[in-house]
Amino acid sequence: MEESKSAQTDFMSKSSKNNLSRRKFITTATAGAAALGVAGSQSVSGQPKSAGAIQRGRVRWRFQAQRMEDTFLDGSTVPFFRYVAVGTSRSNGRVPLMQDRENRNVSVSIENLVDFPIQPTILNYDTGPVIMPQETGVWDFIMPPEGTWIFTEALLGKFASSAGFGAALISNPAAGATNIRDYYLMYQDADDRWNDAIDNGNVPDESVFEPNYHTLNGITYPMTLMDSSTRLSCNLGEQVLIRLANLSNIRQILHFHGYHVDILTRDNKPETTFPEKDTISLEVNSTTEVLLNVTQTGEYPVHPHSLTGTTDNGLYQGGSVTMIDAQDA
Amino acid sequence: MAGLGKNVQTSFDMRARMNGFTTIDGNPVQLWFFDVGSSNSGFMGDRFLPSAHIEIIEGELTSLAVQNASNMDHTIHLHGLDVDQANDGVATTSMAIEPFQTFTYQFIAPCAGTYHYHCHIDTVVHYHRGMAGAIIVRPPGGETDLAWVGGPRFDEEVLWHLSTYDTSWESAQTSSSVTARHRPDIFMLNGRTAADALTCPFTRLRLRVGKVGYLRVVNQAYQFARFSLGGLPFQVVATDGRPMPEPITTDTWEMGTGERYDILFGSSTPVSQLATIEYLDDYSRKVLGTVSTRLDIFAPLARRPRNR
Repeated sequence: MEESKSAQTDFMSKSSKNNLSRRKFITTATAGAAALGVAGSQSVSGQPKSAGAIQRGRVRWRFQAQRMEDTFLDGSTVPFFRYVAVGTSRSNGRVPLMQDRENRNVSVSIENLVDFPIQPTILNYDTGPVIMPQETGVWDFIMPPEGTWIFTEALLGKFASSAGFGAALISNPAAGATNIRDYYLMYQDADDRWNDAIDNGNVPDESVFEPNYHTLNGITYPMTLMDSSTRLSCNLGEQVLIRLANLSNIRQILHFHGYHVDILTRDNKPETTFPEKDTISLEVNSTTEVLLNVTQTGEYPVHPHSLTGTTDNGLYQGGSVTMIDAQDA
Repeated sequence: MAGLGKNVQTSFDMRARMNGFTTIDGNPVQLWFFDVGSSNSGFMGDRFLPSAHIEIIEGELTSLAVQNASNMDHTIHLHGLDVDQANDGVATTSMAIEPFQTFTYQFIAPCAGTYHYHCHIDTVVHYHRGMAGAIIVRPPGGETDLAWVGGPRFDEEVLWHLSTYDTSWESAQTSSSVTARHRPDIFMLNGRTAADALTCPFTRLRLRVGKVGYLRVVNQAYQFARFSLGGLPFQVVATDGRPMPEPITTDTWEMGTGERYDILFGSSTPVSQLATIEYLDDYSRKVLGTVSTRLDIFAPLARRPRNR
């Protein structure tokens, strides 16, 4: 995290004060962050452009699929199954981060350390090879069109998000300069009964999903206030692109304190239906990009207005609560 | 105007109350709510749940003096009003109002529209129990028949405050594993259920043919809600205190917790039917419960000739 923090400090110093209006964005964008000029030279939380090693012209990321146990504020412990970045590959919070330019040839190598087969997939785009337990699989693919994407697991179907399989995928435009700070926030909720069933080698009861844990980039409050991927640090007068990924089986309803935000895209398509809103619906397995115009300093919570979004197994305050931290420029 | 437009002010005295019980559908429900002024009750000065609504004026310096008349900390979070940190009503970043203390929130009322407020202490419990209300911001000058400057004028106005209640949480004074899952068994509209909501004067939609109705909907339920006017098309004209870029004409609409939508409705012919709110399961999206009220768009009575 220290490395990530220093990288963000560096990035913050380079951020410009782009005053692009929402209307201008909508009329100039073909999708996603294109018109904001988010290019491959910088990335979420200020990390270098290719969060992986470059070999023979192809960016390579290395993950492991691991079983782990998380202990929450209420003392409860829940099994999760997550992708974990290894080697030089980078993380966004606790979820791996893949970021490169659209149409680039990239490769992800996944060592499967869980005791069931997995199959990596990018929602609404492409699916990779099946990787058996204790084996390593390599998936070569072409970066999808510019925008915000969700990388998860296919074989578990709707159980994959609760289990914990998620990674951030950002496809930058082929050309252009970085001139805006951006964050990628991946929301995942978990029903511990589903995770326990998976952990015991059983099939969860698909008919009922009542999540009781909610993570943001794989972590929960109060860690969300300390992690540079989830604490939304920004400066007065700045515009911040927030990439929201709802990797879940239920809609989330996200509330911004202190701010209305412009909804730019849904699933990388321009959104023009709504005015700026303070409470926005995030559809299931969907991405939403919003623009925050930083107009007042201070600390303002950002949290789903659901029960799960602010609690750990019912105990307030937990879940995916995080904070806008707006400072004087 | 169904109880609206009578008390548009820039200064309010409010109280956080936790005393006694009421009964909803035969279930005893603890009373946690905010009242306003001397009403001594919640919504419209007529019932305890939901909390009282307030009406303020765009651009005016507004103050809410909140007395905590209970033995537990409370705050008021001004949901959607984009106030500064000191007035945001979050205990960790602003401050909590301790028992029997008073704090005055001050802010400039934002764009005319429909907003929300609620206690942000142990929110899941305080919000669920009813410490939440609506805020209507009137346009500059305080006009009560104009949605916003340049926006639609209307002849009748109704506020719908949607909420649900899980009676298995009744023993919970604080959040815990008891409140891990919300399985509502009471489904309310302006604090009323079933038969009581049908003809509630603050809830039913009554309008003359050819007139314009304005419906403000605030969803406090922990579920998404879908509402319809019995098939009558309506226009969604604003959300979260902002005009829609283009109004959307539809006959059904879904909204999540904390969202607000403003609706224009009317008819050139008489209508008499039910308007219905359905509360949806987050996962299956099946209907968990419904509540309805009457929608009557009626022709004016013909004048009888005078007898001389």
